[in-house]
Amino acid sequence: MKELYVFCEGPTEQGFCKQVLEAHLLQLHCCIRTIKIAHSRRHGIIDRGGIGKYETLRFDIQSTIKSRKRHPGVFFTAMIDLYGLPGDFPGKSNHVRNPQNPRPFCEALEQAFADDIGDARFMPHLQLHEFETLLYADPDAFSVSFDDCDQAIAGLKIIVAEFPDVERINDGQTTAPSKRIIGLLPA
Amino acid sequence: MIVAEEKEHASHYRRVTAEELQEWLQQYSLGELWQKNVLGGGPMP
Repeated sequence: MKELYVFCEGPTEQGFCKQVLEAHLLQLHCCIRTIKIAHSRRHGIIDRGGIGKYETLRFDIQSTIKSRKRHPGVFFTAMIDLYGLPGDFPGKSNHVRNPQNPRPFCEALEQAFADDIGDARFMPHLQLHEFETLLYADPDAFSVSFDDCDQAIAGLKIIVAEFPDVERINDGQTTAPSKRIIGLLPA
Repeated sequence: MIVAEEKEHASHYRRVTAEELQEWLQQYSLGELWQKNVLGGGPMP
């Protein structure tokens, strides 16, 4: 059995790994473990709140890799939003983001991230814009958790159709993937 | 310290060694390592 460690930005990403990815990976003989990297401490409780300093994230990843050295069947990746990365993140200061085509920027940072971690078992992943982008992959799935949401689902499908791929749904203050969902499906 | 986890509808118990936590404890308390799911044995989302 292979093992995949996913360094998650918060409980949402951990839930996604557990509820969506785990069943799929088990079929491929791989189990999944998540580690929450959100660092902000409030009353001693580690909560969501961005990843803070890159150094903290790096410590978590290196400590995990160190504890699993000499295990060739163990792999590591991350679920972190490109949006809101700390200023000291690898590659951030020497690459420029083109709003018309943000993917090269994302890929450059992923490469710099992998170079900095320096272990062949680490597969870098940054979520272009933010996690909520993934929710556009299957708008019909909203009906599992929401009642009477046919109209909202139709609205989401219209948004999906406007873009070449769901990861291009942009990241403006009011047009970010998560903000658009809130607009169509107020909680 | 022993961590209990549910796997395939059964309880699994694992003894955590000082060696595997040595690095982590320089930065975090045991409670924090539990919240971060480094130890396992926590309520999962």
